Order: sequence, then structure tokens, then C-alpha cells
Amino acid sequence: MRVLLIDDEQMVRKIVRKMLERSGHDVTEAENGRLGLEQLKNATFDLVITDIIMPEMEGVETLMTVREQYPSVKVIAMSGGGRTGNIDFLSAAEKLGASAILHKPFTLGSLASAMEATFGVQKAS
Amino acid sequence: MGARSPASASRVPEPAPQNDASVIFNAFDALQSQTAVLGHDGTILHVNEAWRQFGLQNGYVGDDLGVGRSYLDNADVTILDETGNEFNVRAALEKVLSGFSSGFYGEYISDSPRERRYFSVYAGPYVAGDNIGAVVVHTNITSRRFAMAELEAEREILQSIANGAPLEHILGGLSEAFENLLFGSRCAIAAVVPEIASFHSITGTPRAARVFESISRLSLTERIRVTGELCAQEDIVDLASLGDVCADGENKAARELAATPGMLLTIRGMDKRPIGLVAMLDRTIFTMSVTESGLVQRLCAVAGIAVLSARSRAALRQSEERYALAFEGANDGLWDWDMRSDEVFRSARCYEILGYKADAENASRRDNHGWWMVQIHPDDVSAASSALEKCLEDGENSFAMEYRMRRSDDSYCWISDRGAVIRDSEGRAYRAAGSITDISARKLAEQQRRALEEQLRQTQKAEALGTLAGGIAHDINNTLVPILGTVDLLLYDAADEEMTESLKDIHDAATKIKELVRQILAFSRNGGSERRETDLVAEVGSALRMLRAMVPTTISLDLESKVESFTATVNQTQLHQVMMNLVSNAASAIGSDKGAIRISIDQVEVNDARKITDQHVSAGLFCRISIVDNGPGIAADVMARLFDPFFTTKGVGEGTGLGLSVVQGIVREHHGFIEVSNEPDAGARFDIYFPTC
Repeated sequence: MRVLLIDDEQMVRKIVRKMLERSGHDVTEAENGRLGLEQLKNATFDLVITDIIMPEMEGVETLMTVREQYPSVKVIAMSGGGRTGNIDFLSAAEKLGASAILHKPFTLGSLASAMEATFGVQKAS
Repeated sequence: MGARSPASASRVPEPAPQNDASVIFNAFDALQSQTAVLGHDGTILHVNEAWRQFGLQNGYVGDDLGVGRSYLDNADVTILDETGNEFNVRAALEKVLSGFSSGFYGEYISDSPRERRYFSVYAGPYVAGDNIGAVVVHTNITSRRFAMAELEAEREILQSIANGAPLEHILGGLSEAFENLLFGSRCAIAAVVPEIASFHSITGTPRAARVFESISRLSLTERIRVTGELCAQEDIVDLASLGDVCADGENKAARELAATPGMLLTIRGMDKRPIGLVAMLDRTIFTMSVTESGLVQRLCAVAGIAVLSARSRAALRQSEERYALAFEGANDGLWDWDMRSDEVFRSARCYEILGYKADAENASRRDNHGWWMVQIHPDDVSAASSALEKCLEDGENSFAMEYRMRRSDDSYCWISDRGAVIRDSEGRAYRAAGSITDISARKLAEQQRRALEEQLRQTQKAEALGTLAGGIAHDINNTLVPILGTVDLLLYDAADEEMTESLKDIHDAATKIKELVRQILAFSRNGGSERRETDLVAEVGSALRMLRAMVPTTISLDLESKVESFTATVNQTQLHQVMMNLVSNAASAIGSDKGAIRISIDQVEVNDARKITDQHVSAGLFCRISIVDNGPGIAADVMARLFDPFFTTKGVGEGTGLGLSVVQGIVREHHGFIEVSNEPDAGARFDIYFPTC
């Protein structure tokens, strides 16, 4: 499965890539939403995993753009929560078309569950 | 009374040669009193120069001067002796001539056509050969009598002024005195309002009062000219001269005035300004003797005192009424403290503010300074005393303070007390007076406002903390991603059991950090006033996990819920704050001893009508959160003030005294209520009731 991973934290990208690659997925990284959308123009992806709270292009905006321009591409939203006070962005993301949400930090098991929720039970390729 | 002047006299005897007898006659003539020598049968033998002059002045001429006539013929009159008893002059004289009496003294009135005159008569025996003759001496004592009468009248009038008699009454007495002194006159007195040249308090003989009526009928300009000029220039003015003052000859009132025989006397105040007029009719300035004129001026001075005192009394009364009205309107109580006797006068309103009924019996017990000071709240009394002492000792002239006073029902009210200090010439305070106002309502509003402000500050602080916690939580979570993720990946690959064990420890620790962050976020989220449906059981549990870190390990903190869950619409931050305040209070009550705080949750139906009214809540299902500690419990005096803003049992810097008032504010905002009690064994119990949504 081709996965586009968007997060401003290099450390987060590094480990989530490892977690995804262990399950046999093909991972492309992007540092923010804008760069992520660039990648989407150049290549085909099955899934976008995006952070919600990021500089440059906010995760929610990225999510909406992906759902609008690439309706066949699934999106999983993830967040460390906090920072933005009262607004629960993860709940919002779910309403805006995210197939699943991930609370940072998450285990391999949680990631697998989110993938399952998005694509149904899959055998690792 | 009507003894006549030493009547009939006759021609002066031929001047005698300068012998012993002539020396005696010269001395006889030099006597100021009218003196006659009578023979045994009462015949007038000799009269002196004063006798002769009196006869001439009063229209007696020639033989009428009386020598050779019988004194007894005209002596059948009744006069008064020194002690005021009547006696007959003829009878008394006959006793002297027949040797039965050593003489007599009497006084009588003998008016001239122009003036009242008082005379005294003295008769004494002398021996001429075998016979007894008499010497009769008449003396004009008018000046003395006038002076005495005037003194007496003055004394009486000053007495009435001192007694506060009405002005009309005093001026009436003065009119009589004027008439008595100024024989044949009719008097009226008017107090003047010089600014408008009108009169008030016209008193006296009606005919004389008509003079003032005439003046009143003049046009205003003339009235001012008449009264103004008369009063300003002369003390005594003849009415005839009013014709000159009122140039308008056609003016009937002016003509009337000018035609009236009489005069106007001016009554002056301290600054010589005219404050009244005396109208004297039938006597004019030209018919007054020097004695009369002097006496009249003295009476005018007394009249001045009467008018001035009436004016100042009226002004005082008006001012008193004004103050009384103002204080009544302001709802203030008045007090007046005489420091020398320590007596304090307090108006009824003072006691009314404190809830005392007006009863004379107990009032005297309270009419001192000490009683008041004892009623001041123990926490305020030293500040109030030192403020008062400072004012008295530092020479300040006024003070203002606020303190709490015990009311008759032992509750307290807030008083604003303002006073002024009166000092003697050496600067020592001997009297103070002022007013008190009940400012309880204002104080309560102030306290509530401050509590609300404090609550708002707390909320803002919580919001700021929430933002901060949110930021930190986000970063911690991001940092935890590689830790937890890496550990997870390593666990997959780990073959070694010991390695697996260690990795699991790291995994657990990271998970624990994650949970901690979740709790911090739970505490900080919804920092605003937003309320949402919340399971109180879960939320209280979450709050207590946070609070565990704050409470010393010597104190156990247990939660027991009799219900699985209870949903209510609450502000979660505020619920956390309520729990935090109550648990930290419980912990500080227990102190450093070992102790236990038990929190229990259950649900109760509130339908007690009294409770519903007292707590201003609606009947229905409530969630009861009870916080019970095993500390010393709450003292009775503390219990009453528990929710007062800024009331604290903690030391300075340890507590703001706002914790419980904030709790109360929050619970009431949620339409809930609080009950406080002491546990039977020991410890305090707070029951917080939240209504179901």
C-alpha cells in the first residue's frame, strides 16, 4: 500500500515510517500539508496519514483538500492533542472525512486497528 | 394715686439780716428738695428756694406759693410707705404734730402735663417752745424711680428672652415698659426685615401699630426710604418729619404719618443695622426729658437683644429642622459624645440600625462611649479605636471609618461612622459628633463583586494553565511517539526474555506518561464557561487522580460511588476546582497528622419544601458528592462565616479566604447547593449537590 505520511516532526515521521514499513507498506514523507499535496500531484497513493496540528498548512485543511481532490484516497488523522484549547480537531477531522483517528503516541496495535478500520482486514503484503 | 404737688405757697419772707438765723435760711434755701416748715397747727411758716422754684415752674404765682396756708388742707391723700403700705398723709402729719410720731416717709406720683414724676415726702417734728411743729421735705425722685422701673422692666424682659418666650410676647412686654416710662405715650414695636422694608411681629397699642400699617401702605420705594432713612440716620425721629421724607404730598399714607403726633425709635442690632422700629404716639422727641431719652435708648437696646435672639432662635430652629430632615432623608443616625462625662446622645435611628427597640430603661445603659465600642466586631475594634485615638491625639478635626457592629440579634452589620471633633482653646478634644450609616448592603455587594472578580481571575488562570498544559501535552505526546513506537518495534524483534521484560517496562512507563498527559489535558480543557453533559462519577474520579499528587501521603484519599454514573451538565474545569478547593481544605484541616479524606457519590431526591426555598433550587434528582475528613471539625464561630469572602482560618499568605466562596459561587451557578456539618466523632463534612440535567 502506498502511504503518504505528513508530519512536521521528523522524529515522528521516522518512527511511523518504520512502523508502516514493518507491515510492508510503501511510505513517502512530507514535512507539511503543502508539500504533501505536491507529492499527491506527482504520484498515486492509497492512504494519507496526516498530523492535524502543523505549521504552514494545517492538517484539517490538508484533509479537506485531499478528500475533495482525491476522493479515492483514504485519510487517517493523528494528533498529540492540546495546544489549540477548546477545539477538538480530531473529532472534527473524523466528521470531515478522516477514516480513522490516532491519538499520539500510539502503538503498533493502534496503528493496525486504524488501518483495519480504513481498509477492512488486510493481510500484510 | 394723686397727691398733688406741695401745693399752695405764699410770698417769700423778707430777707433777714445776716445773723445766725440768716445762715440757717441760706442753708435752707440751698437744699435741693422742696422743704417747708410747719407750725403746730399745720400752717406753712417757711418754704425754701426749691419750693418756690417748683411753684413757679408749675404755674403757681404770688400768694399761691403757700406760706400762711395750712399744709393739712391739701394733705388728705393716700400714698405708699417704703414697704408699699398705704397711709394717709394728713393723719400721719397730725400724729407728728401732736407728738405721737417721730416722722414718716412716703412716695407718690405727681405728673406734670408733659411727664410722669415721682416724689418722696418726708416729715419730721421739731420743737418750737411748748409746741411741736414739723418740717416737710418733698423730693423729686423721678430719675431714681425711672432707673429702678427701667431696670426692673429690663430684668423681666431679659428673663423672658432667656426663657425663650415668643417674640410677640417679649415685644408686648417692651411696649408696656415703653408706655410706663414715657408717660402719656402709646407704643407699638415692629421687628423689621430691612431688606424689603416690611415688618413682622408688630406688637403693642393698636393706634400706634397703625403707624406701621401706614408705612406698609407706602410704595416699596418710599417704604425703604422711610424705614431706611429713619433707621439709618437717627435713633429717634419725629413723625412730622416724615412729610419731608415722602416728597409725594398726594400720598395719603405719607400725609397720615406726617400728621400723627409721635416718633419712631430705631432698634439696632450688633452691627448697628436697624432690625426694628418702635412707634411712640402722643409723645414727641421735643417733649422727652434727658432721663426719658436715656431710658428709652436703653429699652431700645433690650428690644434689639429680643429681636436678635428671636432671629437666631428661628435660624437655629430652621437649621435644626433642616439637619433633622436631611438626616432623616439620608437614613443616618446621629451621635454626640461629651468626652468629659462620657455621655453620648444617639438619635433613635442609631439604635434602629442596630435593631434595638426604643425603650428608655435600657437606653441609659447604652448612652456612653464604652457600650458602643464593646459592640464593635472583635476583628474591627482595634482598628476603630486606634483610628479614633489617632484623630483625637494628632489634632485631626474629623474622622471616617467603617466597621462591623453587633446588632441586638447578635448578627453583624457594617457601619460607616464619620465624625468631627471639637477642641478647647488648648487643643484638647472634649466633644465629638457625627453620624452613622448602615452600609451592609454596599459591603455585601462589594464582597460579592470581589469574590466574582477573584473567581474570574481563577478561571482566567485556569484557562492560561490549560493553554500552557495543552501546548506541553502536544509536545510530550509527539515526543512519546518515537519512544513508544520504537519500543513497540523492538518488542516485535526481541528474542531475549530479559530484553523483552526491559522493553515492556519502558512501554509501561511511556504509557503512564501518556495517561498523565491525558489527565492534564482533561483538567485544562474547556477552561471557559462551557458546560457539557458529564458523568460526574468519572469526572470526580479523574479530578481525584490529579489531586492525589497534592495531598500529603500521610492522608488517604478514597472515592466510593453508590451509583454507576450520574450525568449532569457541568463545567468540568469548575467541577475540578470545586473538588480541588474542598480536598485541599480537608487536607489542611487534617494537617501533618495521619488522616483520611473520603469522597462518596450518591444520588438523592430533593423535595423538602423548606430546603428548596432556603437553597433557591428546584425539586428533583441531585447528585450528592460528599467530602468527609477526620480533622478537628469546624468551630461554631467559624461555621457562621464559612462562606464569607476573605474569611480564612489559615495564616497570612497561606489562604486567600476565597476557596469556599468560590466553591459556593460555582455550585450555585450550577443550580446546586452546599450543606456543611460536623461528623459526630470528629471531622467536617461538605455535601455538594448538583442537579441532574
